[in-house]
Amino acid sequence: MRQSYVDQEPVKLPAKLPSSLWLWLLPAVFLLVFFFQPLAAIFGRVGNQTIVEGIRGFNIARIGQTLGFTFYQALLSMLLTLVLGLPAAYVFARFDFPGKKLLRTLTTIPFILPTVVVAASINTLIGPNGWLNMLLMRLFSLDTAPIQFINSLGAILVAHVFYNLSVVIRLVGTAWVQLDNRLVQAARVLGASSRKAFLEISLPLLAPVILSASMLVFMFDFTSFGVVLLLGGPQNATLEVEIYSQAMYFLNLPMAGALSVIQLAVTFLIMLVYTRLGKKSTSTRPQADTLRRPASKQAKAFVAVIVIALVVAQVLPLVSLASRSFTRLEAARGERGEVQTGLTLDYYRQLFVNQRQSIFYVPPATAIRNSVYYGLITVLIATSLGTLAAFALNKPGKANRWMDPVMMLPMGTSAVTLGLGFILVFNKPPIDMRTFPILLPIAHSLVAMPFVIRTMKPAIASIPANIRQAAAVLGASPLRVWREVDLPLISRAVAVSALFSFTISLGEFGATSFLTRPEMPTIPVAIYRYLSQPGAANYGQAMAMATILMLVCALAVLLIEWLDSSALLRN
Amino acid sequence: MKRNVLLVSFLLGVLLLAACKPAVKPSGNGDAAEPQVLTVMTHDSFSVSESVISEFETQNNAKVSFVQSGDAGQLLNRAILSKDAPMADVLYGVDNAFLSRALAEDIFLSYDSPMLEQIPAEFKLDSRNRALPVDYGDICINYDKAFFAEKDLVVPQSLGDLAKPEYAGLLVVENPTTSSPGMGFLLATIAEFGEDGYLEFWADLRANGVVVVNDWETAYYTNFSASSGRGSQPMVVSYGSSPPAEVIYASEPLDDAPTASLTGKNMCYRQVEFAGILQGTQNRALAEKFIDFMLGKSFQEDMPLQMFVYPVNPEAVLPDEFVKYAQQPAEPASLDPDLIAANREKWIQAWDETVLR
Amino acid sequence: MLEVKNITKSYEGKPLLKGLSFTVEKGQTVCLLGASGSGKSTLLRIIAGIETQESGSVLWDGKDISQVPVHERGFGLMFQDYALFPHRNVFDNVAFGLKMKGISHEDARRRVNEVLEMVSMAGFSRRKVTDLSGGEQQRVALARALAPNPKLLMFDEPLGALDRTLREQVLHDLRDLLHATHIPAIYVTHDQEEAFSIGHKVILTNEGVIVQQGKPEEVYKQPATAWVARFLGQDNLVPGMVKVLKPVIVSTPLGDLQVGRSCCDELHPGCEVTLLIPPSSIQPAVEGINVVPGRVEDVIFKGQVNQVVFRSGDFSLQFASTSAFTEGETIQISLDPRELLCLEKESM
Repeated sequence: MRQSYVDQEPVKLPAKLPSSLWLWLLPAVFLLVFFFQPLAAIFGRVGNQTIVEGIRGFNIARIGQTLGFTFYQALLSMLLTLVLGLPAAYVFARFDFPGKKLLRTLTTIPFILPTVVVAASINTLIGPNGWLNMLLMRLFSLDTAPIQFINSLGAILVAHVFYNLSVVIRLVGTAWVQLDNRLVQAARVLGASSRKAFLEISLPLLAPVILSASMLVFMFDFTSFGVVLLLGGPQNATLEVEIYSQAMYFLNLPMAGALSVIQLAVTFLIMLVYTRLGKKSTSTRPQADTLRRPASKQAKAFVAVIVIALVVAQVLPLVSLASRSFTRLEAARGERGEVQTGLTLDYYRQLFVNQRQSIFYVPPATAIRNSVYYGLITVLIATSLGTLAAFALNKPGKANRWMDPVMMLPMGTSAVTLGLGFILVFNKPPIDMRTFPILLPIAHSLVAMPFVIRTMKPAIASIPANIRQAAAVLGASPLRVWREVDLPLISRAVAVSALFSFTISLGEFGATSFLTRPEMPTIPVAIYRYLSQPGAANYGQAMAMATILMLVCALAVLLIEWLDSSALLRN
Repeated sequence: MKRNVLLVSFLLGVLLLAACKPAVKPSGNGDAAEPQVLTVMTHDSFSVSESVISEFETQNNAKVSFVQSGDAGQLLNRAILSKDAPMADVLYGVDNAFLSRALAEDIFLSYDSPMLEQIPAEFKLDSRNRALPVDYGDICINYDKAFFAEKDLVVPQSLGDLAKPEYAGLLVVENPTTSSPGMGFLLATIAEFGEDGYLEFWADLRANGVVVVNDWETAYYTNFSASSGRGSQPMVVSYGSSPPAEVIYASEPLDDAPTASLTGKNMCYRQVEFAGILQGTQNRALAEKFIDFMLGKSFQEDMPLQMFVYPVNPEAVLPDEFVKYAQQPAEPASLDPDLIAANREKWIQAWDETVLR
Repeated sequence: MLEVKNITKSYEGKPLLKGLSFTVEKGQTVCLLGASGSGKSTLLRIIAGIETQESGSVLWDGKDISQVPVHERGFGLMFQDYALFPHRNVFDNVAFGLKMKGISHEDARRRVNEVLEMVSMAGFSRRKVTDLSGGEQQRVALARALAPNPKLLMFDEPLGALDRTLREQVLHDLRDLLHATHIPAIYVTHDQEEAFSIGHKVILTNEGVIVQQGKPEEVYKQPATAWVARFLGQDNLVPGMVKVLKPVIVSTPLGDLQVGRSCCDELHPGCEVTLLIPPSSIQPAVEGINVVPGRVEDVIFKGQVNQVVFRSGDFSLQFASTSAFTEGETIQISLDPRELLCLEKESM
């Protein structure tokens, strides 16, 4: 049957199809209750205070400067991420090579690591006493570490690229695989060299998904907190850091509130511009995978370079971190020049022992279980609500022009602001912060849902309307059409959404620190506990816990991918 | 299709299971009579032994439930925002930098605990006993003993020494805007040099290559040379209790602490932590008992190894490691809490101008 | 002139093309006829350079072009489903090949208009391809392939989704165009009528090999095998055994029939054959050679003539007739021996 790959106006299906309103119901209610309500509460409270007291320390110039820097570092980070991410997406989409699956899983892991751990791992790699510096110092007999990197814009950029590369690789890579390759072939027959075909055909067709991925990466970087705080140093403050310090250290809520409003407004504007720009979606076509082993010398070299770059940028820090969890890298006291290494599993063993008999001791199994629970629940909530919203956004209607940016707002909201809002609103039954069990995954879902929407919307748009119609004519009820036609076609996008929802939840720390209950700690919370105390054993245990986190994430990623690929095979 | 159904059912099952999880972890033995629940709100650094809490619970037929809220600033914000419907009965974790603010917001009830008689006057900063002192710690500069020995350097004897050329680039401090020890150190310099002189000192420090980072974790684990991070600075603003911690949490047994504190005049800043009964509590009597318990011997003696702070109660016996490896400053710096509250922002602003811009 | 020599290719381990060879002369339109999925599209793609053959070569004017990259071959390919660039309008689609050649904008514009005129799509330049109907898209795709003056044009089932009238019209236009421009062309289809109306030469492929090639009338009149006959829509095939030679008498379930033509290599008494009975050889008759009694099973009104389904025993034959028959009527037909054809026995 001939499928039309070209965009079609969705034709009105028989009347009983769930109308936009029904589709919007759940996501909208969710946002209203768990996002707008707390925001309104905190802004209301702060607003009152502002009217009465004014805003202490309000300095337009300073705020403008902070805003400018926030933009600048986010833009730079985004561009750098694209520079490495796009070729990497291409390699993953077009080539097959040994170790591909492993590498792809590994590139997803950085996303989940709490910043405190990433900072430590980057430090173990390129810090003053990191592997690289030690190597260079030994090689060239240097006295001081040649690479001084921390506490700078450079460190922020490196960390951001490290975190967000997987977003570009996954989103763009998935679309690239499904790009109608006959269009490229037609172009080539018409006389376009490979390069020209890419520039004239592939790139413009991929532009929508590239834009989408860039926007997501930009927003992550724009609201990035841990990276800027820990790696940027005091000279590099972004809006998010300012909000945090104003609220937490100056107890200047009006100022924090004002900054939050600015942050929200900027986010909304960016989203608005993006929705206007990104009207088209990348046309995809279900087709057999066109993966092949790199054949020519050029292709082989290219793939090799990209793979090496990925390994350096993504895998090496992870390995370095893991290595610190089972090496005892200490000089015997008094012998600073010599560094003895020894392998040890002590840190892992110590994880299972409640050394201080503390009431807040977190057994690793408990932390893992809790993290996985929350992760799964986040997947459920974010994926289902996000998919519903994505379906709704695909229906024609003027409202979508505003609903789309509105649904994206949680991405641009400070965790601090939201957390304080939660405190104001959810302090009595039926939803009491102290007892409502899934408030934390709900907060995670707020962050994950925009991501799901951005992933699902284009996938749903590329379901050919005529297949739906054919099914309807053959007697399938609208719900049945949904289940039998739509869902299988978008299963890959669903898998990517699930993957990212899970990893976002696993590594989330900002909202978690507000909402965590001592009896249900997650792995990042446990890691942070260890790192807030001095002592080699604490450091080692933090690294061990982080390594466990990486393993849990890797397993989850592999599981999701396996589920997805086997479902595809069956269809 | 079947697999999808299975998967969805599995996930739903997980959801239901999580929703049914008990909210409060039972921490004592169940009693015939329904135990009263006391909620205590603390910051993330709070820690206490199970046995100590059990002791309280059994003595009073109670169950203690903890709510942890991030760092001290977050804790206070939480308490202030939920003033009308308090989340807990007792709040622990306000320090002297935030004390005035907490008192101004009127979140505590006054309680003249009988235990207060045992506590030295220097800690009792609230005459109305709304905030009662529970522990104290010193924010001190820790130094890397091996480094100084190797370089044959004398450790700085005063704050002013830090600006000397032989210590160029050897000190890492935290940003007072984003870090509590950073704030403490800044206050120490103000105590030493006065409001007129501290900025000049900081300008000298800056010229002498002082490294500023945003938080304690980075300073200690990335920049400090004597920690597992093996950084470049042998001096870091940390706590007086960090050297014993290095011994206790060493990965192989040590016979000496690798670090020590600088304890010259005003080089350390004394930080006192307070607890109080929150207004609007439904469990006043039990809350009072808990405050008494916190000031009593078993809790006070438990604190050093759990939270690495010093007990305010002089009856409490310190653990060996503290005695051996912690140096207590003879003349720690401290400032009037009201003065801090009034000028805090001004000071930080000025510091920011001098050191960062 | 294009020469395809011994092309082989497998798909998923199974052989798809097993040694195909043919030529396309200047000004000639060659139709590749075969069942869907028989690898015809793959062959086109090999010729275009999009896929590589496993063995064999493609020669243009005597030179082997197997190593020449796709974009340098100068061929034109019209895809099934057209593969129009959705992000470009009609003009940009058609001008694409010209742009790749580096032709100036002015010249390109002239050529594009010229070509759009040829396909009756003048005035559609600014339209978005996504707004066009199936027939319009098809013509734009044709224009796009024509515009850069390719040395060879290839069509991959281009009329698939069009309705009958449109199909006939476009086929007509295409035929005129090809005759006017003298561009050699390969036209791939599974529809025999299409192939016959447009091709100078038809090539029938089955299971990866060429079964027969030649002018449409030749192939139709003299199918080489029963498969070819069936493919071309001739279902009047009965099994038989040769009884005698000179004249050839074949014993069949319809009776002993005298046969005038043969495609078999060697006929000898006793050899099993399949007999082709072209509809044109059938006449209702009462007497004559090769009379077969039976009855009328069905009469289908086809407009100009009736299609009569005649049954004798286990076999039915179809023929066209202007006479009126009624269902169930017992009649006799006579088969003209000059048109009957002996073919190799069909493997069932």
